Amino acid sequence: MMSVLEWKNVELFELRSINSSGLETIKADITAHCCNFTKTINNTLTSSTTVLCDLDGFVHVIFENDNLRTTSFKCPNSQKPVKLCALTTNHLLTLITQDDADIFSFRIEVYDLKNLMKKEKHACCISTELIRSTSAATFLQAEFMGDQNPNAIFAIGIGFEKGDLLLHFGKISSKVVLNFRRHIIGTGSINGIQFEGNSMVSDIKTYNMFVTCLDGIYCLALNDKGSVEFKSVLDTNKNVDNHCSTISQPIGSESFLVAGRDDAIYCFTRDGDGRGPCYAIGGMKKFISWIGHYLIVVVNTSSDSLVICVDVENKLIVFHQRIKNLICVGSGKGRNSYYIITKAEALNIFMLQEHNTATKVQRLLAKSMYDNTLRLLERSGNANSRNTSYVRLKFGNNLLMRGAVSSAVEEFERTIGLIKPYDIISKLLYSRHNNNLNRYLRNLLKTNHNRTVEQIKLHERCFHRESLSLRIQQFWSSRSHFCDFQQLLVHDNPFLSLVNAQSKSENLISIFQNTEEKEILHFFQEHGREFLAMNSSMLLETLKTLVQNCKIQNILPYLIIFSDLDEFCTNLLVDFSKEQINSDEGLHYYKLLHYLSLWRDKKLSSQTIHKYLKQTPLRLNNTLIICKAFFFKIEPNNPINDDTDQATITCLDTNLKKSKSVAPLLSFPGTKVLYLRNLMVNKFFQNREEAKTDLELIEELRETIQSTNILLSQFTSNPIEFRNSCCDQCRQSLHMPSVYFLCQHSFHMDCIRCNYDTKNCFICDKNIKCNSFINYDKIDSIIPCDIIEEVSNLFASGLVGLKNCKNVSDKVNDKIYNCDPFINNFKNNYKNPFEENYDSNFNCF
Amino acid sequence: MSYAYLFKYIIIGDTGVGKSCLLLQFTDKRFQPVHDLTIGVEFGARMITIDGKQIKLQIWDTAGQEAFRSITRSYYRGAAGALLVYDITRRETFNHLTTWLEDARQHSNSNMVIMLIGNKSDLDSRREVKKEEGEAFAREHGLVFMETSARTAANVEEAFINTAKEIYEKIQEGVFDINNEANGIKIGQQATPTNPALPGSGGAGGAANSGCC
Repeated sequence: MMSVLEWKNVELFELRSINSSGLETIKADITAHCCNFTKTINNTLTSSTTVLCDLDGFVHVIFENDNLRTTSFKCPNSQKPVKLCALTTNHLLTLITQDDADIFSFRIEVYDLKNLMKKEKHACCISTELIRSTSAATFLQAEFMGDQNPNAIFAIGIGFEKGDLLLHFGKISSKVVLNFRRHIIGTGSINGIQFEGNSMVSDIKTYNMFVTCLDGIYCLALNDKGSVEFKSVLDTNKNVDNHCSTISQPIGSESFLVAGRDDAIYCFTRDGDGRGPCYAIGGMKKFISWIGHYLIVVVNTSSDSLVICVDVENKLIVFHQRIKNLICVGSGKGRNSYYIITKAEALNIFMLQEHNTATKVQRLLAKSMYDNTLRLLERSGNANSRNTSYVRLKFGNNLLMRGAVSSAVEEFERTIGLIKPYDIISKLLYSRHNNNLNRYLRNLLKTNHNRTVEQIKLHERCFHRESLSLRIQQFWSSRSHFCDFQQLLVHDNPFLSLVNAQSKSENLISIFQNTEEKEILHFFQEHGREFLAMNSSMLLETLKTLVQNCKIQNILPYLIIFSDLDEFCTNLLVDFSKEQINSDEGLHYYKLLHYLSLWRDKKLSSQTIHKYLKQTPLRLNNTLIICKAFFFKIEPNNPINDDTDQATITCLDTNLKKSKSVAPLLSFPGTKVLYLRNLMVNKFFQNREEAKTDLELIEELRETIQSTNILLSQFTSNPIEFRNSCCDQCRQSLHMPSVYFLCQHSFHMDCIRCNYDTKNCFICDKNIKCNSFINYDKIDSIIPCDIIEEVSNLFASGLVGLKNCKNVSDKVNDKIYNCDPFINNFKNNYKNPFEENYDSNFNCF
Repeated sequence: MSYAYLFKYIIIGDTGVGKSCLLLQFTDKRFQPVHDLTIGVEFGARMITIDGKQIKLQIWDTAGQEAFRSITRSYYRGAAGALLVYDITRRETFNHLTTWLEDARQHSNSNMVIMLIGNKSDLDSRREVKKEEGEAFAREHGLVFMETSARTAANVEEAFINTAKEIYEKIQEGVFDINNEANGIKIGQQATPTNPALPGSGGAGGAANSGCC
């Protein structure tokens, strides 16, 4: 079953053997044991005493002051072995001896062990009595309440098998007169009694007594006047037995009565408000103790005992070991130390002791448990030490790496004065961390810790940078502003700037005011197509404005940039011709070409072209060649300016003769260029089509580049926040160590290691493979030729197998099945590293 | 600290839906992105004020895993309110609500106020369960519904306080037998009952029964 043992495990305790304790000579079986500890005002233990009673009737007392000392004595009044024992903080030892044959009577003896502490050989018996009972005694507890107060109370509680209890509750004197009163508590055997000082009510001191039976937990109110009142039932549970109990240290503002049951350890509020937390540690509990933040649990197993120490506040397993032949666990003198006594042939004593702070910090840091380390340091009173600051620095770096910048800076701020500011500032210099750097510097400068001029300047810069972004935002939001050409070049979206500037033509001109025509050309070569895609009319207006203001003298390169856009080029040329009356003749032909393209696309009438031909001084031979290329017939009465013979068009272009493919043909006698007309026309059309295809391809590639750039900018400008709570492989909650991929898939490191060797996200890898399979090429290869059937199959392939296409859909399904990472994992006998914890339905057990 | 009433809550729902984070946000006003698995039952408490009265909320945050179901079931009986939590980014946690609800109804007292909570509302881009679906489920089963974010604290206070208000109203209407602590309600010293169902308002011995704070 999953249990508290799933928590992070850091060994913060060590178990070491103690030699020469004097116990090595004890061979007899131990029949009873108990321990006590005394505290000073600040709650530290000054001494502890453990008592072991053996089958031979000897009582062995182990004192721990500066060293360990064992003294043994035999009870003079009873020859039987001790069955139960209890020790108070003022060293009053209560013993119960009972004959197995006669369970209806037992002897109780009270010894003062102070004599033994003074190295005398015999303990002083201060009271002994033979008492009748209804059943066998099952639990004994003795408590001294009131410290050195003259009205201190000595309480003895004896629990019995039938759920009744004998209680002695009276003031202590040199001779203890035992005065027991019987109380019926429950029906089950009593296995825990806890006394606790409570409060003063009208000069009467009241106490709580918690009684744990097999089937219930009860609270009784006692007072120093001898009154006993039934207060509340904390819990009754007939299904699961209580085995042992203790009182916890406060968790938050509350402390609890803690009961160990088979399935878990349950806490109950002591004022009867109800239940508290529950820690799922399974197994038969032999012993539980709660000191400080640590809960020690001893679980009995068939062959040995499992000793678990849990830091309940930090949810850490700090000690976890199986120990054979365990007799008892008692409190040690030191802070958070315990004795563990085992018996093989003889008694052995071990000390379970918490490591020193340095070792604990080292171990926690080795597991990157920074927050736990800081809590530990705070708990040990080192919250503001230099070492703590180094831990904070490491924690901050770790948080920064994980993207929790704000939390990181919180940690960094707490290192001010102890860690060099450079170590932190250097990590926050990126503009995206500007606010956080500003925050850190503000606090740094407030503290006056060796503030330097550079730090002050940097803070100013930060402030400036912060206000700069605001100003830029305002700048772009108010469109009355305009920028110059250099700003335009560095801006993310230069076209938007142009659009803003377009609202006033003088703005636009002012942008290009001191710009050379060459720079303008470069600018449009780089961004022209992009602008065109966004707003072609605005682009045309921009170019027209530049032409009108003589910023563009040579229009030809611009026509090449937009050569595929006849209408655009024509408009531009029309405008250019108006401005540049003496424009180049070549431009007229260029314009004719675009006119003819528009005529071919039926966007322009032939009259317009004829009109143009009439108005424009063009050479006939050039005009005829161009018009022939577009199959445009020139009207016979068209007055084209030409000084050549109109009867025959003889192509004497020297370039033609230079052509490698045409020149050999012309070398034959009698061959005229005219004979090659058909060939050349065909070739011309072929080339034109190819060029068109190439242009389309270029356009497609340009669009792809554009979309990729947008995607890239999204990646770089938008940090990804990971908040996956569970592993995408095993679907269990993530715990360290884990791997986070940029695609936002996360896995336990074990899941990755166990199943894959790749460093890539295997889900995405598989998806890519799957997607690459479902492309038209592959589907084409497995589907019939009929287009209707093909489309049907495409739809049906993932859903149902069509009547005649079942094979096809099966094939598609098979392929998809093989490509699905999850299905495939199971198919390939995927192994979950935590599978031992689950049943066949993936439920934990 | 004294209180007029003590209400006991239980938080239930699938593992990883954010039950512990909701509790931590409500009791400590902080969010812990990486939270250790709840093993067993965790516990938290906070004072709130309703109708000018101090009310102590004692909250049991249960483990969501099936393995702990036997432990967590024993906590239903003493609860006056339940927060049934699902994760809006994981459809399966919503699908399991019926099982949780059946379990709660079977093991709790019949008057227990159940608040349905769709947690992680800040992760709207990864949403798999529409708000309307949550509302419809709540309507169908007579629950109160709210979407929360333990990360941003959105609606967290409201979820706990509205549940307390519902319980308080039921007390005023006399629906709850507040003499029976098994109903998850305890009267403190501050309580000034105003209806006949409350101890002290009519019958003898009611005030004497009120526990200490």
